[in-house]
Amino acid sequence: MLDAALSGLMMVLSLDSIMMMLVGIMIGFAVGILPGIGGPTAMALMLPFTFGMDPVLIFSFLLGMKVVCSTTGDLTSVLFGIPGEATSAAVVLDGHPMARKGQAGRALGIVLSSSLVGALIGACVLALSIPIIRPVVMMFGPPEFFMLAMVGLVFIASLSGGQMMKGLIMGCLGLLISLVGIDPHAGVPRYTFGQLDLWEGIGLVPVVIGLFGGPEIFQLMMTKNSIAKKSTTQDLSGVFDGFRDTFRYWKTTFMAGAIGAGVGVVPGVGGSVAQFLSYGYARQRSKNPELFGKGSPEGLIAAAGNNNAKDGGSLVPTIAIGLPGSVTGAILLNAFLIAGLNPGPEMLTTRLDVTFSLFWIDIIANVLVVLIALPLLKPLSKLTFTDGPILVPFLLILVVLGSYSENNSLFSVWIMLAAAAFGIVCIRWNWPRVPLLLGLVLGDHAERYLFLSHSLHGWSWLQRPIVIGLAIVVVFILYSALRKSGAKHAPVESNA
Amino acid sequence: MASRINGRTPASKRGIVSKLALAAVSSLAMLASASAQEACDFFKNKTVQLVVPFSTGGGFDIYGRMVAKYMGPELGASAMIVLNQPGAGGLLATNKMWVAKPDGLTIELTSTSGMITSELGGAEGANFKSNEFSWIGRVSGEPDVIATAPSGSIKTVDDLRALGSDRKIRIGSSGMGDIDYIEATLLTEVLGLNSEIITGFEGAPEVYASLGRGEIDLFTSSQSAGFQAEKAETGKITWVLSTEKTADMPDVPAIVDFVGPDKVSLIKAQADVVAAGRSLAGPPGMAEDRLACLRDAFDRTVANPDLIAESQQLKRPLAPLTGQQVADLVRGVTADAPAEYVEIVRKSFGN
Amino acid sequence: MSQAAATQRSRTDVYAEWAITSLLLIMFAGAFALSLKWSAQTAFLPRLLSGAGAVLVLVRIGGLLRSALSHRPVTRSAPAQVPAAPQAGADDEKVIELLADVDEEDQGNEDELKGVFSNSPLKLWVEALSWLTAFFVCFYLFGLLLVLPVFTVLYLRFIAKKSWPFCLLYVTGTAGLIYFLFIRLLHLPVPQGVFPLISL
Repeated sequence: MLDAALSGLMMVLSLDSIMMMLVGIMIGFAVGILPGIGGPTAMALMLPFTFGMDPVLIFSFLLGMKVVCSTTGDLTSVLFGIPGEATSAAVVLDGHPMARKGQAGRALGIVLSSSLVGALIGACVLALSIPIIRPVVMMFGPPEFFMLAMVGLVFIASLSGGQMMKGLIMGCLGLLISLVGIDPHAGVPRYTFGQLDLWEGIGLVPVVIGLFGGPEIFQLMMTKNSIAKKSTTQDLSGVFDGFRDTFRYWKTTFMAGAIGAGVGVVPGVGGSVAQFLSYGYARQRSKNPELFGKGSPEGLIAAAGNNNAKDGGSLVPTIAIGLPGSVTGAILLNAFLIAGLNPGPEMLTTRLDVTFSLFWIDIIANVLVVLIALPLLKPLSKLTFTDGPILVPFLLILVVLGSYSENNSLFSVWIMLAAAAFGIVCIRWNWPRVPLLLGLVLGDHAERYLFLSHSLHGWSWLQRPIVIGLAIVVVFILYSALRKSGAKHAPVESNA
Repeated sequence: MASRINGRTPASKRGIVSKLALAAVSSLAMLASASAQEACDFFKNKTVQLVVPFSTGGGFDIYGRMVAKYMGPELGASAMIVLNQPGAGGLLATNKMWVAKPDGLTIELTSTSGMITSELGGAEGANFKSNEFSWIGRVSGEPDVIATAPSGSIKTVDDLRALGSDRKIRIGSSGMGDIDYIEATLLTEVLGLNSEIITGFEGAPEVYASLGRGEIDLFTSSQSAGFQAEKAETGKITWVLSTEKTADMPDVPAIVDFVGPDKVSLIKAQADVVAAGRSLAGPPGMAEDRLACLRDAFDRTVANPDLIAESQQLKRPLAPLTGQQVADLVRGVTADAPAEYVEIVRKSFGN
Repeated sequence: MSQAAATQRSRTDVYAEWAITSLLLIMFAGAFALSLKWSAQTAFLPRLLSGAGAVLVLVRIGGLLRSALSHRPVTRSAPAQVPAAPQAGADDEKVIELLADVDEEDQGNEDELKGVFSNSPLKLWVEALSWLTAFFVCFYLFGLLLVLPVFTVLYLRFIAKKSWPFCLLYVTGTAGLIYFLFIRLLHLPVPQGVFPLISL
């Protein structure tokens, strides 16, 4: 096994594969800046260029692209408040307020460093799980997936910005919106109003872009100010402060990476929900939860740290049993086939070196991304000090293209507009947006796996050990959220 | 150093690197107009749009891009562009194609079996007649296979029947109206199984994962998905859902050997629907000569050795049929489908 | 700002709360009604969620009613001498604690945005919305490739007050980026309008 790990490393440490990684990173950087058109699209469209290449080169190229897209998605979230990908919505919550305070440099430093640490944790999870990978993946079935969705949902309580009632209502609304489209069991269209465009549901990308990015752009158009307040000092040198933050809050960083890698392993539920699990959990156990959402470095670490970590985790089910954990996973599965690799036992025995090379590529690509992005952070954070109106036309075009490219359909653009209007109303009248998004992300999975669990196991699925374990986690999270909100009310009143 | 370990010459790999860099940066202008033979003049310097009714990155998309790359030059078009138009399991794009301008500049790589079953089953949202599209040719078509759990005890149809007397046989499916649901219903019917169809899985790999965990007993999928599952040890191909064995798997029996003579026509109908596979179609009412151009260009495209080599490299085998053959196949399964088959399909759509 | 203005605004907020809450109730009720014709399994979650949503909204309406009956909505400790700057205004704007669980401590970034959206004069709203409407109508009719140069130049000239050379550079840069990424690199379609005047 150590042999395989070493020869995997040797395969990656060639000039060619580093070159391929760089090419992938360059392309990914350019594409990843556009919101919505993140990793999956770029990877899918670049897949034809990998025909006939050596497996290690293919993965250097594709994983390099993927890694950088996770990071650039966070960059637009911090700088403009426009989530670059559905998986970086939580980064907006604290990253963008930091940019508004004039700390864009520090925020970007946090994003880079915590992403790197997270990615290392994710890669380690991938490597360490190799000996036990198949039995572990096989242990997780529909009942466990359902319970994980439940764990995600209970964070609605603590991510409601203290407005439990409004949060619950928004959560219900989000869950209800997630049900739009063809019912996964009976094939009946629900809430589609005769629109075929709605059959596959309301796309996450346009909603995320609209809900979070829309109000920010509109705000720029109204105030005509720069993103960062003029009065604040132009603290551009904060990048290294950001690096320090990542290590000062090392517990949060580690937890974010672990949650990202762990949840990333779960097919389907993974990516979009890991960020909120990590963010919600960090908020609950933080000493300063009241700062979350106002530019708390801790919150940003929790959100950004899990993003790259989940890339490593999401490879696990793909390698183990050929079950892709995400859209990216599905594309990588295609790449496996192109490279002549067969996911399953073969990748854990005779081709173990290639499997280990994935782990090394993940690590090296993340390091390269940090090195490449570092000199760009200063000029990028300067953008937050330019006049708002200058940014407006560019940002408008970005969000329109980003939502359009989801399906190449104007329908997604209108969804994005509706979400933007809704986002403005939410902000104006104090309705929390995050619970809506959580509901939207999780509703489909929750329903799918609830019914599957029941039809596969009857009621006995409730007795499975992992299900019981996760149920205890749910109760614990709820209990501590309620206790905190109860305890917090008194001092808040006296502050007022 | 790694290249030395692998025993490959660095030079050739660097060649690939620089080629790819060049390709990525200058985007390879798609080899346009390289080998335009005596293609019909109409297509000269025009852009042809190939609609793929699913998202980028899937198997469908790969086929679309592969064909577009080679067919554009054969037509003499300045470019053949893939447009992904996902939605409603392909119905969205197909409905649009049904009413598109039949000038030959917009064609679709259809999920033909999905299209035909939607029409036969009276699916909501299927507003077309498969028969009337201008069929250009089939790109690929592979039989479906029936898989059982790799560790399970089911090896023969008798095992199935024996198990069925104890409890219901569980057949996995993505959902009602999906081709795997129709096949599950069909198998229940032709083998007289005591079965229960478990729906709600998200795609074939997930059903295979469930099969691998032993939660379900049977699943039908495309042959290539079956191969992948065998490699991943999450499924075992036990029968071919067809009237004959396939050349790839001489040891695997065809399911038709185990059904009564009155049910053979049902298996044949399903096998034909599946055989329609992934085919190119234009909107109905295309001018004869225009369609002939497209068909000729298609036939030349699928004979191109470069394309064939590339398809093998990608593990996406071609199985070409001419436009006329596809049109006949589609007419056969829509107009002449056995009433009992149509009934099964309708039932699978909840109608 | 004057006490009268603050009262006026808090009244608007109360109306808005009522409007939003009623709208949500209609949506949940409508969703429930639509689910009635589906089979039990298909309708299970829709009914559960729309039912739960409706109940929660009703509880909230109860809270709104109670506070409307018991006392006039109060702005929390609204200090009358607050400076008129928009951001600072956000604080007293925190409005109406209609339910006990309202806790605006946690709003953070949203506070600033909220300040902007609450305190901007109507003129700014009209202006921004007009520009947006123009953008999207033009985008719908003529496609992105036309709206990109036209909107960009107009917006930069009239709102950002930038020079012509700057506009030219900006448009070339943006268009170049989109051309390179969408057309050359990824071969992705760019949205065309109903009457595409420019196409590629």
